Amino acid sequence: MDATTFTAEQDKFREMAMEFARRDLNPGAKEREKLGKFFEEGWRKCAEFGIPGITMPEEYGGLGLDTMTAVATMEGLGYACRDSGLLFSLNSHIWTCESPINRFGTPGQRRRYLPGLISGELKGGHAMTEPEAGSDAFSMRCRAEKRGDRYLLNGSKTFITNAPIADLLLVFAVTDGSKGFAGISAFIVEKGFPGFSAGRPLETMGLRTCPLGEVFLEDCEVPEENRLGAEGSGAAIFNSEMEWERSCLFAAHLGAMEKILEECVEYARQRHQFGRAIGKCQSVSHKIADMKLRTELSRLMLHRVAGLKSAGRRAPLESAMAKLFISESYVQNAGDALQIHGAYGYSTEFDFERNLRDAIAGKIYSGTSEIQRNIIASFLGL
Amino acid sequence: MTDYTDTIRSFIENEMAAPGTKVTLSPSDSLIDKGIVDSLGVQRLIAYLEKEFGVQIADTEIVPEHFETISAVAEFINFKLGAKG
Ligand SMILES: Cc1cc2nc3c(=O)[nH]c(=O)nc-3n(C[C@H](O)[C@H](O)[C@H](O)COP(=O)(O)OP(=O)(O)OC[C@H]3O[C@@H](n4cnc5c(N)ncnc54)[C@H](O)[C@@H]3O)c2cc1C
Repeated sequence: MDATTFTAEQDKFREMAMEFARRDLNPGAKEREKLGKFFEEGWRKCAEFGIPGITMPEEYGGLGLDTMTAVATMEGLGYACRDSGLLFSLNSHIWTCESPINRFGTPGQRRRYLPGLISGELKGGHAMTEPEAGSDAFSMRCRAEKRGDRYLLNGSKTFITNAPIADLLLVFAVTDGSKGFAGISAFIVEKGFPGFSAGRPLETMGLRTCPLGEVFLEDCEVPEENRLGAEGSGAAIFNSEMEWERSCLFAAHLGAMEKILEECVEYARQRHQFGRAIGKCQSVSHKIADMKLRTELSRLMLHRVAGLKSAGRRAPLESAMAKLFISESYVQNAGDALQIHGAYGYSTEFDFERNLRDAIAGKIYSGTSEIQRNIIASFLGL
Repeated sequence: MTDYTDTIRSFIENEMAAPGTKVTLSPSDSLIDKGIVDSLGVQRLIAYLEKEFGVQIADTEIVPEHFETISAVAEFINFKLGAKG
């Protein structure tokens, strides 16, 4: 692995994350994947290691480090960790719950929720998608009606990462139906609030150790002080979350691509057919050359956008381009790696088929590939 | 205090309305009701305002009051430039 844009300290975080994953997260990963089992102990160890608190303020128990350090750590985890569902679960917790509470929360909300989210005692996520509102998320039906000092939330959400295990979710709901996207607000909803319930984990193709599920809100009572940001700022909060997630979460994909590439080079050198190493066949070596190209371009895009976010800059276009390119590159590289390994790649004994199943989800969550292209086109004035 | 209404109006009319359509907006027209600004459009508008006026807009400032009409946007920019000193 080479990562020239990291400082020596950031590089150290990446190395430590790799060691940590091999030692503490990988044992039993295959079995958990088969069973679709969340790794509670692994979550606790990640929290002890400091992963949810890397960029969080020290006053709440975080490490107070910069975005690039978080990216370096995620790259290391993506490279070495075989429980990618756990990584995805952690990333959702960080970028779609903890980080928006830190950026948009009142001092009271930060004090109440950040220490638990950082220590891992609390698990979080966000709930936007509804059965009838996916890519067109702002056409949601979920309503929040003000009643005295509280809101009553009614509606349902689906495909919510961490919903079956979450202690709190950032729920988006319509507070003013006449204003479209500008009438949406965000609420910090605790699992114990009356009227809140979560369904059983949904079966998915990949990321199987990450619990994903439905959320039901039936006259769910949310105190006014749990509204995050002003009424009507839900869209801004959501867009900001997505920008952060697109800028940082995909570091784990980059790490995974680096690992896959190394394995392909190694295999193409040692696997012999027709009396020579398969890497000597141009159709194999060119495939690997293209994998290298996509990995390096992914690194450039990811580090550029993470650098922008680290510097406090806005990056809606850059984060959409990075997300699109990295997620599609990961699918392509995972598919090529499987092909290069032949039947061994197809076998569930190795990780190649799992990588491919996990990779596909990246083209859907955080806004589909098509939606990223729409964002890019819109910034071009189309 | 400079009035930036025309500069902002020109960007919104020429760049944010659907390509190939000609719109004429008054400073008090609701950009949201008229479908000129949607959730993605707001992001483009902010990117333009930051570049054109050299201001930094915080995520917490992206509230409907600042983007509902051309007048509101112009007023917000004046506030930002004033705060910048
Ligand atoms: C692993 C995973 C985790 C997720 N976690 C969460 C979560 O934590 N919280 C949450 O709120 N949601 C979550 N989601 C849901 C996710 O955000 C949605 O699946 C996604 O936004 C797409 O919505 P949809 O599935 O309803 O597809 P649809 O929006 O119905 O789209 C179907 C197809 O049509 C295409 N399409 C739709 N509109 C357009 C258009 N205008 N132009 C071009 N193509 C278009 C789409 O790209 C897609 O290919 C998760 C999804 C997955 C797979």
